[in-house]
Amino acid sequence: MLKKLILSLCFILALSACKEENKTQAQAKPVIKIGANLHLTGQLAHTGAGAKNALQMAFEKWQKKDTKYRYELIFEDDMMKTQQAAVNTQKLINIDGVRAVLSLFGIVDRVIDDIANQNKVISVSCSYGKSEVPEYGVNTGAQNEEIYGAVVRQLKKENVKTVVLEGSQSAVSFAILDYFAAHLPQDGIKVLANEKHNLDVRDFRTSIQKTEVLKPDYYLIFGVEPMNSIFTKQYREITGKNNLASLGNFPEIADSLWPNLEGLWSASLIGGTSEFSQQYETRFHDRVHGCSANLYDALNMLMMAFENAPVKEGKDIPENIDVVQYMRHIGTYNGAFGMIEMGINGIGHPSVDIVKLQNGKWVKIGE
Amino acid sequence: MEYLINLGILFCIYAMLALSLNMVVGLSGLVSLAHAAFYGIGAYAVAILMTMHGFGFWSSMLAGVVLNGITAFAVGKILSKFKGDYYAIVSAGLSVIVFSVLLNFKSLTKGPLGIYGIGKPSVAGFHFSSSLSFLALAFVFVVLFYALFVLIDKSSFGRALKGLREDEVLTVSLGYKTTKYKSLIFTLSAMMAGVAGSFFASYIAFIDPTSFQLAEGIFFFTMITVGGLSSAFGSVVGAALLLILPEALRFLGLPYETAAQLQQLIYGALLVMMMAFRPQGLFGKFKV
Amino acid sequence: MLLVLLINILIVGAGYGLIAIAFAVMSSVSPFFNLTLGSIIAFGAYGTYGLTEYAHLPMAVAIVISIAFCACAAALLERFVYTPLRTRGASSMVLLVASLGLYTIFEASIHLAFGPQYQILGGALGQNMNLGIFSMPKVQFITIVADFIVFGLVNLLLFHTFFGKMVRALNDSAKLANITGLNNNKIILIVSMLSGLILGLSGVLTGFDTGLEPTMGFNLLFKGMIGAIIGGSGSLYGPFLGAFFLAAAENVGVMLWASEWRDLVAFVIFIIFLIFRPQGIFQRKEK
Repeated sequence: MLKKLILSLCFILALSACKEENKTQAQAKPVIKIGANLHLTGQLAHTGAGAKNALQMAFEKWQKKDTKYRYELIFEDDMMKTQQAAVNTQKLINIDGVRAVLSLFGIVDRVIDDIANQNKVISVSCSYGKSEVPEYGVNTGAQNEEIYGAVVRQLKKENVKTVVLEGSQSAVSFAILDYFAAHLPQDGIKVLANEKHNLDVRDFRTSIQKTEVLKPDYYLIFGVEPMNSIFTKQYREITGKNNLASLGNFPEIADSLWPNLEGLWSASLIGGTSEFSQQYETRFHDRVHGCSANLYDALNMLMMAFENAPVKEGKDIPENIDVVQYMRHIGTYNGAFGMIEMGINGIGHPSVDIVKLQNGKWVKIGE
Repeated sequence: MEYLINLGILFCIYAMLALSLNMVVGLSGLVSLAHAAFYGIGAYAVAILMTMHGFGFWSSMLAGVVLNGITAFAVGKILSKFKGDYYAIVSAGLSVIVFSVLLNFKSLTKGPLGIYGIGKPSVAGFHFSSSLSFLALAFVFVVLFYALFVLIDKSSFGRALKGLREDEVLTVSLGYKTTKYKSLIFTLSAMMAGVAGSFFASYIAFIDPTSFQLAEGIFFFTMITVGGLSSAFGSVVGAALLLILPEALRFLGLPYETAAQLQQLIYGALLVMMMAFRPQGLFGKFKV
Repeated sequence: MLLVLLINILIVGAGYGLIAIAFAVMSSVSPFFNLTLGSIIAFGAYGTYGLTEYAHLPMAVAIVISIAFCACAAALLERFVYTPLRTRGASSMVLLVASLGLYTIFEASIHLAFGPQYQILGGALGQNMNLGIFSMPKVQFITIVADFIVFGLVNLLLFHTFFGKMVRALNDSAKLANITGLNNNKIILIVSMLSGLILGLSGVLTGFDTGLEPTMGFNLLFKGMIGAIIGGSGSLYGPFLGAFFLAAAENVGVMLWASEWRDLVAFVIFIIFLIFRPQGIFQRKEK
């Protein structure tokens, strides 16, 4: 019985793999498929879930409109692993025949970018601190310059002279914190330590006590959740102090943990206009996560590009390269995130605000 | 087709790993959790030497294999002092240590940012840039490793290994130097895992340390346990099955909200069922 | 500074200790790398979370029900999955893979039921208490006390009661124990319930201190297992002290180098110690 089950699984797989790329049949509208390769399981599953929900929400809005083409959205789970991301992208491109792949961050987005680019398929990511994309790529994640700019303004306001950086051993943490470590001295702020914790660490006590000896003015953290929550909690338990700020993701943390964050400020990479946040929260009973609003806007920009990009003679849908170029020339995009400044090199610059938790609400401070 | 070819390449890599691990665990009864480390060293050797020092694929792979050999030989000496659970923990320790080095020795490995742009191998002017040619090359190595496994299995060396697996005291009393045999098979197996790692790095062109953690080692174990211990065919079948299963689950058309978790659930259930129905693995010849 | 370090080791080591003791207890009747023990830790945490958040039960009631559930879950898994597999001749690796399959099912189920977001159990236990020179959250103090009490009680049970003798007899040789009239199944049932109970307690305490997420089980179990194995089997001092040793080795790494080298330093320390004491660091050599 088991052998039959296994054989039938192999059979299903073989059948599906033998499907050729979908040729548009004699239908009223050509079909354009879009793939989304997200972290749906693993440590960052909540971010993946947020992105998935936001994409679905955006997609459903488009389905109600009268569009030139018919669209399909296909989700895959990259499990935050490079080989899974690679296999997923191959499947999306070669079996489903997608014209674009949406992805998140880590290393996986670069693997996806590569494979998509080789196949002349559009690759749109929400990756923090990624400053270049290949020919067919677009990035909508927050950039180091904006994060740094916002944070340093706030630090100067509070007259901070020495800082300890805390992060996780992940690509995004490194990209952002190393940028800070390189630039803070140029702005007259000394970096006393740059601690990187392994992803499974839940006890930061010794590390905190070690860095406290250096008497820093401020702690800046950007780690993979739950590092941020637990570190902050333990920091406040041990020192009772308030001089800790996040470089990006406090607002993403669950409500039950907000009492620990009262009075602290954070750069907000999450964005999200109140209208978008409300729609999202009402429908999914959950807070907006990092990259939710960015990918919501990314899908909107992508579909807008498909609808509006020039179609060459004799073709029925625009070439992918023209769609990418359209996206890159959008300029300032005001959407669910707020404001994203699209660059013609494919790198978007979402605006970054500083927010502070006051009486259970995240309030924008500083300008 | 391209999708199947890519799956095929991953199959070859995992088959090489399964064959190498089964030599140590199945034939010799040594419960080693260290293979993720050797896999990683092989991959990073190719990545670092090819992208940062302009070496070719084969010389980089050779360097990785040699490095693995030396490491395995040294570690093997320490490991031979331990039995059972302790062997497992110390070998797991090697995986943790190597992972830590790959993650933190940023000047060498670029840490979590990973190394990208790893090239493909060439032989006598022919460049294996198409995925089909790469698959063929990888498959050649699978066949080589398979043959090696069968050769050892049927040789007197293999008999000695199986002897020390079943009853080490007896085997020693018969005059066999079991520590030498254990060291030899462990070293050989580590070098094979390094070859698999080199192919992986070249195939995916962009590696980072997270592919080489302890959890990966547990996955290798699952492959050979499901496929069957001490069996070359079992190793290969185990690799194929555990690669195909998650892929097949994609096509079930589960609702997008919960698809990923349901796929995990079904995968877990299938693992349990397989163990319940055939505890010795599909083609296993031996129980640890 | 040293005092502060010692307190950290005490807190963390106590947390690991509970899991190490539970693992050792379970291993005495069912020895293998049982990944579902990690799931049971998660059940303790999520059970409490679910009962307070969604069923709106008072905290104390929720905790008791969760821990009871964990005890039952551990017993049921052992009775209906692992013991039957073992009787049919399954090897330790097969049991490991079966437990991996179950662990995956449980983790996915928790994810489906509660979502992937990191949560923490709220309430008075999370608040600080003052102990003179320093303060720590109540839950950490409770964890330390619980670890010592559990160690004391389990040690008493396993080594100073008739029941304990039966368990150790079973551990030595199940067949022989059966022949001499021991009811193996009953013993296994009680021991696995005990182990599940301790794991559930650990889950609840972790839920208050460092929170919960669907993936929490594996790493916590791994720490406990390492503590237990390095400490050595044969007496309960092994896991109990081994857990503190693990905490000490980790903190030494952070203290002298940096947090990134924590795991490497810890494992190098273990390996060095084990080379000199391959029977386990806190065990006497076998006679």
